[in-house]
Amino acid sequence: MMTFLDVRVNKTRVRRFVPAHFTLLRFLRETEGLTGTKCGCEIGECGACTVLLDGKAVNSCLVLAPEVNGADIWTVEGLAEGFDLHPIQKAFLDNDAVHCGYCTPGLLMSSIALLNDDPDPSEEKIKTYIAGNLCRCTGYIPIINAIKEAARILKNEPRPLLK
Amino acid sequence: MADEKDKLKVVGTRVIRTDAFDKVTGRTRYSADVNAVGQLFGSVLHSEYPHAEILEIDTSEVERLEGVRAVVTREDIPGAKYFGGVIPNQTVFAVDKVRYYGDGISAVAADTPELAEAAKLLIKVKYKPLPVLSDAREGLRADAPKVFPEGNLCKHHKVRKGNVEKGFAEADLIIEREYSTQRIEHSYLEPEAVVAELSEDGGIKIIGSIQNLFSARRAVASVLNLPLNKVRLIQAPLGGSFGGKDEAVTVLFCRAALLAIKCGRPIKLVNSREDSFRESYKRHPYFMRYKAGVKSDGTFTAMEIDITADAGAYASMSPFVTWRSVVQATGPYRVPNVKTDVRAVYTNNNYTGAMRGFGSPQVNFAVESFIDEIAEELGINPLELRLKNAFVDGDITATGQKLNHKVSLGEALKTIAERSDFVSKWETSRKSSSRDVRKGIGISCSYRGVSLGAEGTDAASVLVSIQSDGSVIVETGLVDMGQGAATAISIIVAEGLGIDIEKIHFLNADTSRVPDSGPTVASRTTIMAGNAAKNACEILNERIKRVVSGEKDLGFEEKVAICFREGISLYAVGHYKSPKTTWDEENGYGDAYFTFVYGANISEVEVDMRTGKAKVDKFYAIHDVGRVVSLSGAEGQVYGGVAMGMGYALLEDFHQTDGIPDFKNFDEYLLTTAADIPKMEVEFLQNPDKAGPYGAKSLGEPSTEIVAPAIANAVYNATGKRIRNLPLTLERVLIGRELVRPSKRGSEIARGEK
Amino acid sequence: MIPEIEYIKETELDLALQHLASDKKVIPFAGGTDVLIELRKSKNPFDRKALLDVKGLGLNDIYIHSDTVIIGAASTHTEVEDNEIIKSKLPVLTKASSLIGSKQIRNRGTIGGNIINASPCADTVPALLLYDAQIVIRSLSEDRTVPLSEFITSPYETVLQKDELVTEIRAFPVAEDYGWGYYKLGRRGAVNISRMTVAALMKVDGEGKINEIRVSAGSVFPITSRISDVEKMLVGEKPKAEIFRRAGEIAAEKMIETSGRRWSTPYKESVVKELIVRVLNEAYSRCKNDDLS
Repeated sequence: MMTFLDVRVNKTRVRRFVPAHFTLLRFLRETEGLTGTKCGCEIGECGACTVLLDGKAVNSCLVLAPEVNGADIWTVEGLAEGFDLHPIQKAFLDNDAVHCGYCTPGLLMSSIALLNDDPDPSEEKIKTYIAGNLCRCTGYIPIINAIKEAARILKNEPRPLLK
Repeated sequence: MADEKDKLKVVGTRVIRTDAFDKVTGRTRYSADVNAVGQLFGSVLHSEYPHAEILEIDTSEVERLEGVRAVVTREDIPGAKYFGGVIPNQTVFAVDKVRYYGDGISAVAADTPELAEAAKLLIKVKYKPLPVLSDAREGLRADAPKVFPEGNLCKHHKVRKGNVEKGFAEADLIIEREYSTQRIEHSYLEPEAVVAELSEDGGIKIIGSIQNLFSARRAVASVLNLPLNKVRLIQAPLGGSFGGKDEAVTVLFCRAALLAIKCGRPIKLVNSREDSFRESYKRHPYFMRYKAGVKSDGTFTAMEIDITADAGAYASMSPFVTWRSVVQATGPYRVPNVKTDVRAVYTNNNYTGAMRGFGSPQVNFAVESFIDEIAEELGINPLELRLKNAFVDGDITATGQKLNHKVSLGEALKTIAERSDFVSKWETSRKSSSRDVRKGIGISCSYRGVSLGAEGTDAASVLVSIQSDGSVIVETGLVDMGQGAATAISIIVAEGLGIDIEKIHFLNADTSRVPDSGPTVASRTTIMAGNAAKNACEILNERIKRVVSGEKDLGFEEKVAICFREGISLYAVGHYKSPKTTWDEENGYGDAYFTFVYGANISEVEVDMRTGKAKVDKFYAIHDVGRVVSLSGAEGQVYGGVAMGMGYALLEDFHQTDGIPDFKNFDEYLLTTAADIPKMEVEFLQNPDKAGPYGAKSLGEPSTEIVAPAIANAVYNATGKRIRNLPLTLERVLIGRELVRPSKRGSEIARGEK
Repeated sequence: MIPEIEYIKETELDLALQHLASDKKVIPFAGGTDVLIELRKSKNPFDRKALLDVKGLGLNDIYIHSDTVIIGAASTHTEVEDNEIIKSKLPVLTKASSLIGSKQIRNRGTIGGNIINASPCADTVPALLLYDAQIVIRSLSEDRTVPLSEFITSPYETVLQKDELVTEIRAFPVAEDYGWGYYKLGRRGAVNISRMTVAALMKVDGEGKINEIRVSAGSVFPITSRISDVEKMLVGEKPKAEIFRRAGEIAAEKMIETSGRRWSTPYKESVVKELIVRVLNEAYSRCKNDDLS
């Protein structure tokens, strides 16, 4: 069964027929060619596929494409403009929070959701907020540092951090 | 060398990873992000049994299905039916029988991934189930089911030094203990993926998440019966590997290639996490018996060690993994008399192979727990017992090798103990009698042979190509899998040419364009590729100097421009071959590695005495890396190594019941999350080694290999309970033993799952 | 991979109920955090299932109606966790919701789904049992309200019929002088499947005796339930360590009596005792009674 979608992906309006059984993850990767969002477990445990759905961090592997009709979706591809990085991306670079990089897109999106919710999160809050994003390389410490730094930089920015 | 540090401009600084920009923007194309025009999708049918003869495979029904373009089985293999770098006994598709639950029987290529996945279920396979060998300790019995007709012994290594009987006779105390470690899954976040297509002038091109391209190429070429130059393997950026993307990806390469050949279309083959768990190799479970003789003052007189390693269904790297274990089993201590035996035994479990640590996490858990137990028996502080026996400059190892470099183990132990206030915390904690929550502190240390050692030929090449504008392209057969090799090698090139790291572009490996540099394993990349890169820079600097000598004040770009004008090639192949190592397999001794690294860990834990939950509060790590190449990269390696070691200590256990894995995905196989991470203090000792580029050695594996014993020793310090089996589950900590679920989970019974 | 499906979404409850009443097998879903995972395991990909998305039915309101807290069944865990009414009236549920899975899961998973999935380790159920929650069920033919304590019949089984839809959960707050406790035991620092969960509400009278007590436990019995033997024993007692320990012992005895000695009993027996003590202590510490020292 095909279903018709009318959504915004990274500010761009997209109207497509997609198979109804496609997850949001498959829609982004296979229909839209937005392969920045990663597939790690397909059961919502690893967070590699995290995107923002109407501003909230969700595992795109556990959302069906037809569910998002009318929604506003942000993926990692929407953060930078050309070669200009979003402050959260810059903070990840500067704090060496990117090793193999497979968890990075999901973690960036979770970080933005967190900073939208709470511009000044405590370390404990950061840790529990990103606990649904597994990383096997970094031991999380550089990521936590990056989020703290981004919070400092973005403190006075109006929310949401993506417009 | 001490002066050299001041002169270094790039080495040892904090740099931004060379590959990070693409990764934060989502532009990096991992294997699964690659699509070939006209590609079809593959799916692999796995065995229904851990051990069975295959009587018949009937693919006729699936072949008739619309949208299915190819089905391949053992019948479609033109070349070798078995592959393997050490002992070629692994199958691409099962030949006469299946040896583990993850064995592939057949693969299907179809127009869509969902069709491929559905279609394979129409393949009919007749099996004759065979008895399952699930416990390696039973594998060498005469009546054990045979995984291979020759028997179940994959490899037996030994170390013999002095006379252990004599040593035990001299001892005041003889102590014997048994330890075990569990099977664990690499859990790289990126599941394996490949895209194969016919090309290369009658050959094949495959891009994939491969860690060791050249061993994979040998396997693919032999299976397809093609010469090496017709098999082009390209490494896609790896989403983690940790030793895991070797044979597990090689089989995918072969299967995708066979499908591509059969239908003439590009094939994309992507493992789900469940496929990955089911099929991929793991870290070896070890069963270890340790016996030591000690004088009452804590001097060792002898150590006798007997280890059985579960090799699972195929040899993979077991012969090499267990060799490192046999060399390092006594830990970094002076022991005059040693007898060590390590046997890798085939079973019908998932095969086991290379994983970060490579045979050291297991023996380190045992020996570092054992040292604490000996200290307890002798009434000596565990730090003191370590310091008393720890290697110093010029000591002789268990294999008879003289340590003729700076041995910094004592410095590491003393420094970390001071930082953490170990002795006083240890004394205080052991007196705690709280019945609710107790704190504990534990220490561990290790020495580790750098690179492959006498396992094999150890050489690497790096290509450095200076462009006419002064920018530089670097290529090598050793790969970045997230550990930062691209950055480390780029730093060494930047240092060697005297330029900014931003000028350097590091390319992923391609077997048709770079020379075979051996595998990216054994924490050998910085030292091997680093030396080769440095060599390439020296060659280039020499060429530049010859042309522009006398013109002192020229910048790099100007010098390069002159060379191009003069027709001087600024493309160089740097090469490095490691110093000589030796090994006498028969008599069990030799100069196993050309140099060693040293490190120590301390863990502070808090144990909930009523639930058995142990939480790591604080972690200290110190490592002598020779020379730090990338400071943030080095710290990151340690943070990640500790997090992985914490999983090994507390959470992870890829348990199998009669050969069938208990876990399918990350909902039940638990990794360390951000919420589990303690405060960490990381420190590096820098005693430059003459063998390393700018003195650098290695760090990737040392950072994870002694985490578990530090935690287990801390839990003992808190609770007075010695846990000799990993992981330290709630049950083990509370009641001292593991509880095994006898049957299916409630959810599975309720849903009628297999 | 999720096999091919038919996706249905309605904005009118009656239309949704018509789908459920049809002969076709229609699976209602909201957050999808359980349903899609199950669907993905489907062994027969050619058996196309129909999924009914209930998110358009407006079932995510949370409000108070004559002292009853009404929670739309499709309210996400995040909506429950962040809701001010629930924070003040049903604090145990706030706590329970905050400990479910990851942030991403809480943003999608719903309270109705958590209950209907009927897992013995469902996090919200021990909390809701304390508030005598009722499950409101609608179908074309009949509307009914079932106490949560009777809704789940065995692990992963409920009284819900094929044509029925859970539309809301009703919970009955207790007075502000009740203290509460909630303890979820998991192996990690976060994102845990509960090993065991215990929850309690306690009221202490002017004499310092336990006036009312409610205790529930998940992953202890085959079905998450209140432990009436424990409650009965505690009423009228003065809250003190010895009594709480006795309560824990009764819970452990009850666990073994119900399930027999299972593989996990050697661990769970002492731990369930301890968790009971912990939540009773926690609840007692929150009891607002000025007469108590």
